[in-house]
Order: sequence, then C-alpha cells, then structure tokens
Amino acid sequence: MHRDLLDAPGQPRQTVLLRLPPRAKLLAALALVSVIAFTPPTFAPLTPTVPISRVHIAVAVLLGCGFVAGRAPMRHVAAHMSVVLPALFLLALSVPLAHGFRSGWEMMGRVLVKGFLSVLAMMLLAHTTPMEDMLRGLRQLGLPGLFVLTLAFMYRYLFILREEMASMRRGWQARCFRPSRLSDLKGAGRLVGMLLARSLERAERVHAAMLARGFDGGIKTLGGSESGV
Amino acid sequence: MFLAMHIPDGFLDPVTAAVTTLISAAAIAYCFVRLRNQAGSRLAPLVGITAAAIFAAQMVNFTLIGLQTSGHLMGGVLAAVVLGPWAGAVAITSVLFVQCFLFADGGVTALGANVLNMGVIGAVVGYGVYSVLRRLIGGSRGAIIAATLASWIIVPCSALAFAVEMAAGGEIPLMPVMTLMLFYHIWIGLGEAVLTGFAVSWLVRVRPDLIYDPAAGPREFGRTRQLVVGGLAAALAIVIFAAPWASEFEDGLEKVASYLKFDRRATQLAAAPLADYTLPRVGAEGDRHGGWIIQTAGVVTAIAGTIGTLVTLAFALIVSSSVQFASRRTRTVHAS
Repeated sequence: MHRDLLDAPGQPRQTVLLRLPPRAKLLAALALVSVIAFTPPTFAPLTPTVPISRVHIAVAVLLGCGFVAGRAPMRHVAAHMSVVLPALFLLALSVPLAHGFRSGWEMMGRVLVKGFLSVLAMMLLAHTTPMEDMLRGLRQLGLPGLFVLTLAFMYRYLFILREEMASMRRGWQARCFRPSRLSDLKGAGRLVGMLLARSLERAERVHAAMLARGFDGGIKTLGGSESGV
Repeated sequence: MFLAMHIPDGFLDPVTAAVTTLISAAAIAYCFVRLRNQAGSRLAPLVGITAAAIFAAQMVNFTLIGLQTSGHLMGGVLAAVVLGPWAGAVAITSVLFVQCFLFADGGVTALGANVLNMGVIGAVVGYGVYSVLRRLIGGSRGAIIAATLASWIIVPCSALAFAVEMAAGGEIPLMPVMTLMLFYHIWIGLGEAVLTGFAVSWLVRVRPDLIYDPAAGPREFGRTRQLVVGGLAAALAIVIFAAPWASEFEDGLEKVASYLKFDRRATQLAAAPLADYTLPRVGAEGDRHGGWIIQTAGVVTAIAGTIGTLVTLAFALIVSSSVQFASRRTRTVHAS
C-alpha cells in the first residue's frame, strides 16, 4: 500500500510555479487548504441539493489552472490519488454511519469534496516544489532549524532504507518462506527490528563521517542559503 | 484498503485545528528542549534516519484476521523504545510532516491533531506506559513485554483522541465515531503489538545495547511479578475500553468535545439547513437510526478489548520467554 506512496514526486518541470519563492508557495498552499477546509457548510451552496459551495468551485478552477501552469505529471498524481483517496472515502463513510443513511449523504459529500480538493492542493505543491525548496520554505516559515535538518536527513535516507527493507524482505522470503500467518508476522516484526538496528548503526556511521567533514549541526547548500541550528 | 489514523483536511473546524496545533507545537518544542542537552549534533542524523526507517517499516502491512482491511505500523512505541520518548516523538512528527507535505497523506490543517495523536500520545505517552511496565518487570524480558503491552494499549488511546477531535470538528457525533474507531483499532492494535513485540524481541537478541535506557541496571524479577504486572495492564486496558460506555466518562468526553467545538460553532450549525441532522447524542435523542446498534457495538468492543488484552499479554509472555530460551541455549553452546 505504502509502496506507491513512497514514490517521490520527482523533479518538477521548469515552469512559472517552480520559480516562485518556496515560502510564497507554501503560504499559498496553506491559505488555499484553509479556505477549502474551513469554508462553513452554510456558505452559499450552488443549489439546495448539491453540497458544493461556490468557494469550492472557485478553488477547483484555480487548482486546475495551477496543474496546467505547473505542468504536473498527471499520471503520477492520479496514481498517488488512488492510494490516498480510499482512506479518505472510508473515513467519510463514517459520516452517514453516524448520522443515519438518509441524512448523512450530503454531509459526506461535503466532507469528500473538502478532502479531495485539499489533497489536490497539496499534490500541486509537492509536484511543483523540489524537496530542498520545500525545506527552505518551511525554515523561512519559522520551523526550527534542527527540525528542518531532521526532515532533510529523513528525506535523504527514505528511499535508501526503503530499498534496504525491500531487499531484506526478498531475502527473507527466499530463505524461510512458510505460508502461515503467524510466521509472516514474525518475519515482518524481525524485519522491522533489523531495519531499525541497521538504521541506527547507519546513523552513527553517517554522523561520524559528517563530523570528519566538518559538520557542526548546520547544513550548507551551494545555493548559499543556510538552514540549520 | 488500509486504515490509518491520519485525519485529512476538512474534518476539523478551525478552533479544534488551532487548539491541537498549539498543543502539539508546545509538546514538540519541549521535546527539543529535552533533546538539545543530551544529543548535540548527533540528533538530526540519528532521528532523521530512524524516522526514515519507521516510514520504510510502514511498508509492511498486516491483514487483520476476519476483517477485510489491513493496517500498518504506527511505530510510536517502537521509535520511543530505541530513541527514548523525546526523540521518538520528533521522529514520528517528521514522518507525519513528510507524509503530509510530500505525499498528501493527512491534512495540513489537521497536522497538529495528527502529531498529537500519533507523535505525542503514540511516542511520549506510549513510552510512559512502556517505562512503568518495564521498570516493574525488569530485565531484557521486561522490555519486550512492556513494549508489546504499551503498543497495544496506545493504539486505542490514539483512536480515542482521534474520535474526540473529529467530534469537536462538528461533522461527526462522538459516540458512533468513537465506537467505530475503538472497534477497528482493537484489531489494528493487536497487529501493532505483535509487530512491535517481534521487533523488540529481535533487537534484544541482536543489539540489546540499542534499547534506550535512561537509568542503568533494571533488576530481574520472577514470574509472579510478571503475572501481577500483566494483570494490572489488563485491568488498565479494560478500564480504557469499557469506560467510554459508562455514562460519566462519556459525558466528560462530550464536554471536552463541545468545549473544543466552541459556542460559535454550535450557533452556526443551528442556522444551517442541516442543523437537525447534527444532534450529537445518538442514544439520548430517540432511536432515530438505531442507537442500540452503537450500544451493542460498544459492549462488543469492550468485550473484544478485554479478550485482546489477555491475548496480547499471553503473546508477550510467550515471545519474551522464547528469547530467554534462545539466549540460554547460546550460552550453553558457548560454554561447551
């Protein structure tokens, strides 16, 4: 399930949206999502029966323009949405379950529209902003440098550790596959434990290597910007 | 299909979002204050790489027996077992940030709530439960039993917090969503407990030094002590699961939810055309759509929670004793 989620958005194409300052982009995304999520249910629905308000339609049009202008890879976005949306749908399903099946559908529709548009907005941000820009933007928005640095390390090793997990899993399946559910869980648990042990060892090695190269707790990029403690 | 506890955008109202964000920000800031003294420049690589490992470990998902859903590791207790509570919470928070900003998994406006549920409750409170249990049982065996039980207990706790926040968000009344969440997360918690138990028992075997230990020298205790502790944990879990259906506790939660909800929200809803659909008390307000279903589900959930606790306890004892057996055998091999 998360294997699809772990596919990185990839390098964004050269567009206007890529050249915008990251802080502005982040702020715009936050503002947009806030508008989507916090539009009150009473706000001018299109008709009494359709739960989509005018604000949401305007936002949808705006997002559509953004996707065109940002030339986001739509196939990747769609693949990504197919992973995120089922969870949203399941959660939204609890609305009619809680409110009764006659009256809950409208509320569920409203929640689904909000969730869907918000996911779209965040996907647009992710697909037009490289991770370095995103981190710089978060730093400029006032996130502590140490935390941004932690996020940077996490992103750096995310795909490496994912590969390691996959290869360990393959090795385990090749060697001691026994088709029973409990042994599956046992193997999975040991994989997780081993992955943690390896990553802690790797962290020690990485830190030692970085100290040898003059690491002082900050991070420097060729762009001249500095995010760190 | 998978069930995760990430709240998407659109489920929380502004007040709930703001309150949970403030609480989480304060909690994570406190974590950093505690960390700055002890970790130094090691902190960022250590926590970042471990967070990446937790993220990768979430690739492993377990199908839940009898239900057509599957869950994956939350990893709060596991992160805290190796990193300690403060760094563990920061690691889980990093995971949530990357999931939110890079993969649109979990909402931005709900990020505070998600950090609260999984980072603060999952890692810090989870570590609290783990640490108490571990101190009571003692030894490397204690670490396994405590981690298993703590991760089992903390998943429904996070689900409870989730339900309160969702109810405060105003879209969903408290009791149904709480019943639903607890019912599912009893099973998800079993998966979390089993995975965490096997992971920690493996760590104890291969790298016992990696288990976070603030104070040196836990003592070994006998089997009686373990059973007593297990009984205590079982009682605790029963309280957690059964209490929501005792009326006073329920009222307390309703109060929390309505406090978060604020009066403004209530008047707004009263003005809305949908107002009469949003009456939160299913049981009290006539049985329009079968409040008894929820109540029955509540009883079933409480029973399932109790059984689950006992199963987890038995599992923890078995896994930890198999580790002891293995290490004893290794020792005799070395001696001969």
